[in-house]
Amino acid sequence: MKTKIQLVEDDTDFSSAVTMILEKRGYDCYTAESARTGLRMVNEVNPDLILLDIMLEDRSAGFRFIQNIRQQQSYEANSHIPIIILSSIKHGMADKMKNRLGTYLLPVEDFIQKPVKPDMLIDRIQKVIQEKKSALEKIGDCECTFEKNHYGPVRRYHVYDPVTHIDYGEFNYCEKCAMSDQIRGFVVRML
Amino acid sequence: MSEIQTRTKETSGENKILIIDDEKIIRESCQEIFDLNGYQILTAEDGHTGLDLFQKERPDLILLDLKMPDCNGMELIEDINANDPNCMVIIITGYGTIESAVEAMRYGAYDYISKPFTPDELRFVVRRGLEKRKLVLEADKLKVEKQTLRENFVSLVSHELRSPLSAILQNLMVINEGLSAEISPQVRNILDKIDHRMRGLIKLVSDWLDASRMEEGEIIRSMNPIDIQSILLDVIDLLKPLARENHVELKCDIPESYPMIIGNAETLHMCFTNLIHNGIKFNRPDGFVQITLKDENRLNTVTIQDTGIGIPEDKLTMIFEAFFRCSGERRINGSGLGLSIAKKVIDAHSGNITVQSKCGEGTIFTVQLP
Repeated sequence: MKTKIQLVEDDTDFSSAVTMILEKRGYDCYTAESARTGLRMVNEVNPDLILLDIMLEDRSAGFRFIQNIRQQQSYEANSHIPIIILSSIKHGMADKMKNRLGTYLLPVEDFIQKPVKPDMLIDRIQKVIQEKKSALEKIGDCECTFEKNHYGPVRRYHVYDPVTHIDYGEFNYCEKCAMSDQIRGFVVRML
Repeated sequence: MSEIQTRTKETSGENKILIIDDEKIIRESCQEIFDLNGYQILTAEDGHTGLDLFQKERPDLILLDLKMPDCNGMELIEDINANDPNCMVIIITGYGTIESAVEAMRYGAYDYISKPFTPDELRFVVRRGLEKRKLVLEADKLKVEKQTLRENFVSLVSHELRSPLSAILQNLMVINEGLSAEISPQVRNILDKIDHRMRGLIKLVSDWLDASRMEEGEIIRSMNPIDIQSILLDVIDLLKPLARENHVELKCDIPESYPMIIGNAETLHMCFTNLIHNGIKFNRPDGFVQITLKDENRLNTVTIQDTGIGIPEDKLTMIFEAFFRCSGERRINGSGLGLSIAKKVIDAHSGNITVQSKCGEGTIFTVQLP
């Protein structure tokens, strides 16, 4: 079955170029021109990956889209869709965003600057999808008993409570559970 | 009582006046005079209470008796100024001497009034003081607004300019890679030229936005002790591939350790990148660019010397202007903004940049930073 890529991009000239690149490589490409249409489309199409232009109808539309998607996924099993951000912004902001990749501030898988060489785009897409596949295979290994739905690669972490000074030892956590513990205030160190 | 309070709120807005005078009669009569104007009046009978009240209430204007026992009026003015330079201090002098008034103004007082004074004289001087304060606060607010507008403008323009360029280049890539149809070598040739010029355009937009974003005040505000020699070494490292491509050697004479200087790392990095990049671009094959760092006459001096094509003498003064490029150098890529950005950065650091050049031999740029 063909891999489905959803592109959320308001510049139709840009999206048509990217669609051509993807379809030539055998992907099925669906384009939404706004964050709102994009959200509806995700539910209808259930893509394998989302290419998201961070600057849509307004400055925060892209970020709101990400927030929305990630919240939805908390309540549905196995529904973490990898997201790659596309943007034409440069150095300063771009570096800040790259630093936040994968953290709860910017829970997306990758960041690419426009314009993007066709080969590089395909490479990154394949890498991200492959990473998700390997993560899915190991999800059964996540040892967290609090969370219900897991996503992200499973790695070994050390958990410590800085308030009570209790050392909880080492666990296999998926990315989501590691983040949840971090948000709760534990010191979660990747080993 | 409540009527007066309401009037105060309606008419005075933020007009709060603090009267510091040891004579009760002065305090009371001032209060009476201003009650009719609807200002909010606070009083203190000595320097200490006055200063406390000032810090707590943040008045717009202070009427201060210069000669109070146990109080050094000048010191008090200094303290007030240090705390809130926009608070207008009007001193009341009882000796009718201009000297003490002038001295007080040197310490930071805005105006003076000498005893005995009529109510009208007092109202006049206070009104002037309040007006000045209003203007100063407005100017500050406008400055902040201007800065925010400028930042918003730059990021908006940045997006508006870069988006179409990205779309064009992306489509160009699709054609170039034969993704939409087969293309002949001639067409590919033309497309390569278009690609080349588009990238030049994108660089121009980036550089211009860099230059617009760099406001002198911003640079000055974010200065820290920095390691200038590691900045230079990093720039040289980043430019090594370009130098190799152009068959130009990068020679550096930079001491292993050099004392830290106060500056803004990001902009200095940009500045030296532009200068050394120029040295490489405008060079001849098998030429070199020599970068030295040393302390010369207590000034941190960086010299960038190249064996390039040089700059004609009559153009030497114009090279730092934005978009200036020597005629005949259009074939060498560039936005024409590199040197003007570099000069802006050096100016913000209170430094100096000079150039010596001989056509056909080379150019030396000397940057001096305090």
